[in-house]
Amino acid sequence: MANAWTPEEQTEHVSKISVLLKSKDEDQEQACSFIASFTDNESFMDQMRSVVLEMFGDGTMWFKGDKGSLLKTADLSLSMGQHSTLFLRLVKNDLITTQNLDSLTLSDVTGRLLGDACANLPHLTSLTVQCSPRWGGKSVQMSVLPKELALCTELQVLTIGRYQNLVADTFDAPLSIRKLISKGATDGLLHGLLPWMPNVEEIVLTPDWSCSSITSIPDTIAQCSKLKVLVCPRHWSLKSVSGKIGECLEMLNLNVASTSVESLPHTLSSLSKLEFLDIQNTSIRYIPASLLSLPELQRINAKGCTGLIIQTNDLFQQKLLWKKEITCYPNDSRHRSAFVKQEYFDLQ
Amino acid sequence: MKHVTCRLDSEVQSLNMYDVAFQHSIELPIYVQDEGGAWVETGKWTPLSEFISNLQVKIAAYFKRDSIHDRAVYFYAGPDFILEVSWVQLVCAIARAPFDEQQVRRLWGDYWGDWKQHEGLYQLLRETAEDVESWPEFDGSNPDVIAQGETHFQTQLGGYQPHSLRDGSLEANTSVGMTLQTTFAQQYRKQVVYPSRGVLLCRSGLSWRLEAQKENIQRHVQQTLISSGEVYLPYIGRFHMKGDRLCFEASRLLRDRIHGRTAPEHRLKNNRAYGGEKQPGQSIQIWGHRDDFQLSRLRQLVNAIGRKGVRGTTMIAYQAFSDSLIFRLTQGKHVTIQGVGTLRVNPSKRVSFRTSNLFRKALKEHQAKGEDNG
Repeated sequence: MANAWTPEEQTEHVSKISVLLKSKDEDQEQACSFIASFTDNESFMDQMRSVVLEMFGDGTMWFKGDKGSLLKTADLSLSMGQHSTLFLRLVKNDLITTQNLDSLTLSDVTGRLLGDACANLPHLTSLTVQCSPRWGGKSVQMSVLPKELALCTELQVLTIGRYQNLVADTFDAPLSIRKLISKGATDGLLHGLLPWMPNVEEIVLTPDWSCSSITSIPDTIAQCSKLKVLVCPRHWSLKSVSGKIGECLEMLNLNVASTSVESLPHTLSSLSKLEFLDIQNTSIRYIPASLLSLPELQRINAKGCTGLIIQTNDLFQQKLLWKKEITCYPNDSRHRSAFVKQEYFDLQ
Repeated sequence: MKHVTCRLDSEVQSLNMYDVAFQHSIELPIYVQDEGGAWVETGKWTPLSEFISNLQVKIAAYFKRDSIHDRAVYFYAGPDFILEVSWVQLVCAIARAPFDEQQVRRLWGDYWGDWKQHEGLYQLLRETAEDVESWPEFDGSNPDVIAQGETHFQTQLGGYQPHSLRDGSLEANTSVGMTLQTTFAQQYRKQVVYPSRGVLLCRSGLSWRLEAQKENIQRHVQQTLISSGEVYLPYIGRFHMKGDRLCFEASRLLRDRIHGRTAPEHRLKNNRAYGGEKQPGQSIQIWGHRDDFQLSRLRQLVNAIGRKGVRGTTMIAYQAFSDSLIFRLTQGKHVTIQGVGTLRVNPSKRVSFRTSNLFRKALKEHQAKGEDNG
């Protein structure tokens, strides 16, 4: 059928399809399916490839003239989802060679679209999906992290940004992720993902103004037995850290600074490899002696913990960062209190 | 002294009751083993709450008071912690290990010293703690600790001095050569010299505080009239109740100004044509704490209005209030004291007063409440 096209007809088809590719969801899908059904027509495919290349822009993700072979890194986050959705549809219809693709950044894509494309992204090691901030109009929200993500068997780093109600459902197989970075993490995402990341070594959860903060570090943290770094500062609703965190025996760095955590679980003292603990600007009052005596512990940052009970023992003074830089005698009672306590140690 | 088995941070130890009470009071996660062998939170352990309440009674009795507050009074640095402690915490902290080295410092004091060197504290402990016979003797070897005075008074100056910003503090404007403003509020505002411009109009800014002060003055007048039937506003006059009727009697100063008589020289010299102190915001720390002892009626009024706030600001606010009120009356304008009534000058140069509906309503409510209680 394709061979029956005259050059004029082919040019007309190409121009129609290029219009469809730039349009809305259904038309884009239709155009991709149409292209997929004519893959054996080389001259048509060449023309289509140049159209797509033009849409994505030179050098952003392709080696020009290499028949759509991708660069190692593709960042499609700057087009409010337009390039991302088109890219995923092309991948889904196997119209792009993704063998070289190592790191992919997408914005404003739905879970279904991402899930459909996952099977064709087996070599991906780093995936970033994010929701672009929009001052007007409705943002494209992903409600469930697709379970097909488990098909990306080499995925090491997963970065998720600004999804308000994103949750993680059950996966068919455990994820291979070693590092999870989430901007605007929610309870649903964290609680859902933790049981499926047995190899995760680093979890970084930063808050975002558009998303609700996490409220707890759940018991399922125990399943991340290789976890080395857990960083979740500035989550003002974070009130409790599960005692099961004591089962993450590889933990090196724990950061719960500027949260509403009021006490540390006593199981923290079983984290024998813990080196850094950041609890600054929290309401924590008491640091257990067993935690202070951890052999590898180098520093606990407790600046701004106004309710902290200062201990006079040497271990506390060596490992805890609690003193303020006060250069002159403070007039108000709150700062004076800290000043007097600091002065006591200076006089000793 | 009774010892109990406790658990803190998974470490089990035997502590005396003072130690348990101290650790409980500073909110450490400590558990006590009861008779049945179960671990109980110290907050739910009855013997401890009884022990603490007994101790509170003893301390209150020592100070000859009905009850003792739990505000911090001393800094305490013991073998384990350094923190601010209340009376009860201080007694518990020292009595748990009286032979250990324990340093204390008055909350507003200047020196750390051994607890045995603070004479008053030593006496308190001897009289309130148990098993004190074998305790160490009072140590009078450190004259600094014994002689030190608290700098408490200085820290309270904030309650007396007028509100201030970086560039200076509030001041009352001169009342000589005043110009008429459109409203009483503007006139009142004009009578205050602000130290700077910028953030004055924000909530809790100076402008907001001054407006609140004006309302305080008006509220004070209304409430005092309702409760005691009479209030004297210096330089303005006397409001008093005759039965259910509210009357106003203008002061000599107000009548003189309305009749156009020149202000005395000593007032003009101080730039206070309508009465008042030369610098109302100054020297309040000298008289602010005296509580009606040989104070002028102006200062008594300011003390009554500004007791919970900053008296310096109240003093300036009242100066601005009385200046504005008298000046506007002399200019033939009526002045409304919110919730009390309206003052106006009639053609025969007499000050007439009309009670406001708000005042009548408040009076009725007060009377109804009184009847209900009766």
